[in-house]
Amino acid sequence: MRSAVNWAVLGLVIERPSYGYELFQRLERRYGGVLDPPISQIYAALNALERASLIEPLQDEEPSDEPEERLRAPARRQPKVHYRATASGARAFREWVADQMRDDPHHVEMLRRIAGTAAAGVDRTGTMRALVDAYEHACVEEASQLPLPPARDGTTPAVAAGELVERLVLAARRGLLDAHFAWIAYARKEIEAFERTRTGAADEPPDA
Amino acid sequence: MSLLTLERVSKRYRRGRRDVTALDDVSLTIAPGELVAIWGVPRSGRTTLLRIAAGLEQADGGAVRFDGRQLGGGHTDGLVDGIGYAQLGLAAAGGESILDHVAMPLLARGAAPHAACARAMLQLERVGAAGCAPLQLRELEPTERVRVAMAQALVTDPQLLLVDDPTCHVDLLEREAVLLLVRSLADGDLAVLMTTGEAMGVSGVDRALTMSGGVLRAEAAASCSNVVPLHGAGG
Repeated sequence: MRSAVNWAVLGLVIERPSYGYELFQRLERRYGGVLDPPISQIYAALNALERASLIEPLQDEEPSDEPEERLRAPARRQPKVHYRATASGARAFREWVADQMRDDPHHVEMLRRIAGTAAAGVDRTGTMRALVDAYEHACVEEASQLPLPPARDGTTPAVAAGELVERLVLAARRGLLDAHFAWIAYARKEIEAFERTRTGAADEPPDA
Repeated sequence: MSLLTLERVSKRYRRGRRDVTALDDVSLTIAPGELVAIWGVPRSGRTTLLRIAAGLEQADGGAVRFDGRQLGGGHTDGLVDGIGYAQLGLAAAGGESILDHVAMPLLARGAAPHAACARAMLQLERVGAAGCAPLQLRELEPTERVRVAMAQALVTDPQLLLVDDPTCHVDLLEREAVLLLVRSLADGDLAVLMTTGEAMGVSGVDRALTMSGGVLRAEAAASCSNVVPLHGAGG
């Protein structure tokens, strides 16, 4: 399964059982600008995930809290099919996330801490901000300590080839750092947006 | 001793009916001969920071001092003595040669044309763009534009050079040469404050900072050891 949309949908279903249109809205809120699939692709993703036994439908319980709604629903429209993740879906998703981060133990460590923060439920965003700040500090430090690539003036073919390899290795490290800087900018915006939606409900300081 | 000091500088803009905070309580010092890079995305406040440091814009709050003098802003020609600001986006006057373009700050200060052109030529050689002297701005490659802009900023022999994202429009394979040039300028006793949007831009600098939302955040100095705060920072 190579589609990023499929993995994103699986991740959302793991967070909580959900149905097509709701997943479409959640995906738009979460990944808007990064992933913008049409709703048809959400349904295609649900089909593919179900075929692969990574999710399963939860038909029976759907409108259970509104019995009257259930009686009227068939006349109006098709029932919404809620999906939940299977155990193999959760496992596949974990493996996929780990695979995405395989090159980068620091990132995995930070995500683990962020997840731990959310689970602890205390001063969530302040601690997340602090983690993102610390991570940014680590990234900018690493970036500033990378040397500029060697000049392209190898005198022998062997020296020139060695320089080429060094340049490519440096480019790979910088590419990862660029991805992390982009992630940091994104994470800050997400945390800010989260705080804005909570303002009024909580009295956390706006800038911890 | 610091050459440039920004102390609790803030700056807001009106954009239509909205207030936009470009800089929020920013403090920064640059020492003589130091190469400092600020990593930030466009609209992070990085360009405003440079323009205020250059004296091109006035801060709403805080103080900017350069070489012991208070910068009040409003120097629209960018000619604060001792500061060079590389204007990467400048359009040349019609028909003007690159040599005249680079000499312009000196001519504007009343230098004799032949002396101004001789000094302009020296600066073009210094940045590796001597071959561009007879050309016009529209004939230049992106990497040559950056070099020429730096030559123009250097022609008044400043102590501090300000460069806004020099590698932004430059070909991937030319970028490090531009950054090596910046590094070599700083090695020669010139202080440089530059912005960048990529990791390469902070490679090998004396000090790197990040900026987002008008706030300076992480800071890393080249001299400090390999510290990775995520390890051993406790659960």
